[in-house]
Amino acid sequence: MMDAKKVEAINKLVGKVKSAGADQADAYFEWGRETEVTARDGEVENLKQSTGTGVGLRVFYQQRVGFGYTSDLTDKGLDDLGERVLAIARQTAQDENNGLPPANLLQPRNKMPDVFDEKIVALDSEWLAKRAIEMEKIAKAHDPRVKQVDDVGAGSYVAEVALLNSEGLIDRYRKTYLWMYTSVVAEENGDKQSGWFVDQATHLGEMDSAEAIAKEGALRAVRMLGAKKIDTDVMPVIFDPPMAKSFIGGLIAAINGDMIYKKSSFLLDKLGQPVASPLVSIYDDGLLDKRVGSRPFDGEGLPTRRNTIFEQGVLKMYLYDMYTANKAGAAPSGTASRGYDSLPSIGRTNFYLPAGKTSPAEMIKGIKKGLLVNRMMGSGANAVTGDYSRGAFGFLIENGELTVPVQEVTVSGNMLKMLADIDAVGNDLDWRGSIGAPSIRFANLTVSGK
Amino acid sequence: MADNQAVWRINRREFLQGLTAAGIVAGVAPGAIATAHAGADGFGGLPIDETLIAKLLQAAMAKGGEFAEVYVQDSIGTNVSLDEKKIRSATVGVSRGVGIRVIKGLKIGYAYSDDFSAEALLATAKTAALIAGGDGSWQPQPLKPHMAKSISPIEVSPADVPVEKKVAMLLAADEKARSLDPRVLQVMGRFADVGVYRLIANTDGLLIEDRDVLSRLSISVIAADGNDRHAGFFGGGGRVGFEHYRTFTPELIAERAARMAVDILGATSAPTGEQTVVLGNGWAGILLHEAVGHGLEADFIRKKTSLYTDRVGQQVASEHVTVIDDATLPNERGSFNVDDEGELPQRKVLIENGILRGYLFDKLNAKLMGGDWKSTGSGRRESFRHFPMPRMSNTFLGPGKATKDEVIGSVKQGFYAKMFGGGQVDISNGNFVFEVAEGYLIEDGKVTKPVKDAMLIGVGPDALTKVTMVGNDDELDPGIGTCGKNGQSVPVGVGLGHVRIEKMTVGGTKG
Repeated sequence: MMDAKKVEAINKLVGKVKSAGADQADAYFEWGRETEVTARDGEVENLKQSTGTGVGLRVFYQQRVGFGYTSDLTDKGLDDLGERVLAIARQTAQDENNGLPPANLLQPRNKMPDVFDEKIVALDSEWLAKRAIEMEKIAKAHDPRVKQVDDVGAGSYVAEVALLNSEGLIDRYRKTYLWMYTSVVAEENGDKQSGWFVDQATHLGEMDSAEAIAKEGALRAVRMLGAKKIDTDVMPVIFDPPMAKSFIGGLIAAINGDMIYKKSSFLLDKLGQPVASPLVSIYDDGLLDKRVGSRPFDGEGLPTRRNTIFEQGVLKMYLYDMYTANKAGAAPSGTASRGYDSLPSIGRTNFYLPAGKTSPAEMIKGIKKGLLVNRMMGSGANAVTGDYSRGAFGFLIENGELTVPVQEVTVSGNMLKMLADIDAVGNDLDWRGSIGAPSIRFANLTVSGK
Repeated sequence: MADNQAVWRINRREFLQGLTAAGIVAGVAPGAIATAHAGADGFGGLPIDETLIAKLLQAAMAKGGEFAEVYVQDSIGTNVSLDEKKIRSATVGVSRGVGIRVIKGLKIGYAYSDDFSAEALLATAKTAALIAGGDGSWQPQPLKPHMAKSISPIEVSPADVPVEKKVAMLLAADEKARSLDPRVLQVMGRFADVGVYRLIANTDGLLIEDRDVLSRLSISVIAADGNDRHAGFFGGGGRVGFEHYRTFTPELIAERAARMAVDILGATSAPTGEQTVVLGNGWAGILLHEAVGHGLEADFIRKKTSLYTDRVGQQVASEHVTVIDDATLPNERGSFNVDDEGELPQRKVLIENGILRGYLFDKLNAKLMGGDWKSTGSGRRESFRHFPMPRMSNTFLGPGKATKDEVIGSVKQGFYAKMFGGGQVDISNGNFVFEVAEGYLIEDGKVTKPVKDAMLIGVGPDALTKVTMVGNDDELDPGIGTCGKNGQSVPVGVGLGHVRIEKMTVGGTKG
């Protein structure tokens, strides 16, 4: 795990830059151990194992901000980092909004969410290899139309994070992370379709079985065989949980306090208004146990918490880090993200839309002609205008039943209208990762095809 | 190693551009290179020498590996960001480490270390060795160090330019963009440069060193008119000296970005459905990169994932289509002096007048596929934390005969995709999507109204058979592209002249 002597050396570095003239400074130190195995033809294909460290140093100097990072943690490496960051800070503009969070905001911590599992720490490359080989075998055997298991693997990441600042903060936490995935190509009558599935978890017990992941990956390829383009039309559209997650993920940029301050979001001036359907509530919660986005404090050391973003359709808040909160006269949301190689920025923790009451089957049942979208391509969610346009794949719904697979179409609309148009929220909430959502149905969306 | 690790590495090939992509390019910069290496005695000023490298290779081969390789990287970069008329932040970063790869048959063992102590490096070599799972030995051969020849002449390394000058460029761009139109609301800019030292040594006796620079100036603008808001973006750079920005000026970049944002204000929604599409020259070559290029990378061919598998010699596109990947072009963003396996860069004709001629190979896939296949110098990696894969460099369409006016003039009613955002492709069937960042209607052979938020969707091989005109105004993009594959980002170039494609699906919000 993290070397205590290195933490001490970094603490000294923070002190050193302060004595050298900095007003304030903070450092983010990450230690990580990564192991990943992929399989091919019943054997290990790639095995990658390493440990790495890195430190990022942020310095405030006469209301200016400088930043630097290094993977070189020798005494000389750290000294060089301090000098370079102090030098480069002088080149930036003075801004009274720069600075560390005040001490009264740093405490108390709300809770230490459970994001560390000794069982994941104990997993070795052989365990991961076995899972990868098993997934490949199961995916191949799942259906004769599965011709290639082109990418199958399992990996683990064990990390420790320390945040230190010149006001005396030294805080750290450990986290574990496990992922397993299967990517498959199915083929029939000259048509090729790919499908993949990934599960990720902070705890071994939260992980789907290798069998379930492999089968889902294979199913997602096979079911798309024979997919067709359909005629351009306006129709009800259902996003399955992974696609609903992607849709609500597209909202994050629009509630970014910096974008709001710059009047560059379609959710500007919408605070307190019923923007979305009353079926829609969205939370950002950094304190959930066993969720990938949980952490006790954010990238600036602020305690994480549960934020209500939408409540029954009403927009309740935007997200701010310390700098943009100072600028906008708002409170920071405790969601700043940070890696050792980047400045803290406005981020999120676990962002989710809770389960509703409708089953996916009931959602489909009510549709005469519509589209179930289970895969999209491209990142066409424009947070500035709200325009949404993405390549879509899925199934045509006719008279309440899924009929033919569909490809080479786009779904498009404006996110403001799409939010209001949600007329059903599924009871099938899916997490896997730090965004959670159930199936959602839009009353009307443009589907462009032939 | 960000806060939340993204695991969407599976089959996602995203093309990124703009400010987001600038973040991906390992920032590195000024003044630092010289100081970092001054007076040091080992390679690149790092505490390594031939004896240690030979020891590492020996340890890597100790479990019966067939091939081992040591990859050393030391990069340092700066990154200066402008926001709200001022320099919001400046960053200096060092990324330094050693990656060791061992191959046996189809298997790859990989381990890396950012600790340069001999003990840590030997432990890393031993970890990588384990993949071979047996016993073996390797007699160190004498390694003959040599420096790769630079193909990108420069006058002034961006690393040697004081940060003040980079700051001045951004401020000039800001002023220019705001002066052009009162509707310009926000201007954001970034200048990023990195200097990279690499050393590649392997059990074939190779020991090659390289130094290279990469930089990019990018500007994005948001324009507003009432509730109507749009973003514009432009930028570029490459493996260029700082003198490049004397002609590719910040003002020029700012003007393109601002015009794009302002011109789209008041734009109508894109008409949807199948239409004749004209691609603008330069950056629209991203379509070629996504629709064809990835499918010609040899890992997808060896695994038979790509629909171009076993099709060399066959007609895979219309006769107007010639596709070239060229890593030897001086100063281009996708070029390199030596690839990340130590092979020299090449110019490869991948498709010639519609006939498939070959694939992009790294060493491993060339060896595993057997026959006469050899590395095409296409083995690339993001950093010492990654093993190499076959990747594109600068990928472009060979020039045709038509002028730009002839291509656009030939279309009675259609869609002009002048500038793209990003794109994505599914290798197995060639399904692709592209966001159109700047698009216009074509009416009676003329470019008319701007169109907002359109996207193109299609199937790569199908689209290539529908290319009916290729312009003679081919050019490479100005140096903005970063390509992602299986979680690794590398800088690339794309290009083409104006191209007419029949019956492509345009997605938009208008029915």
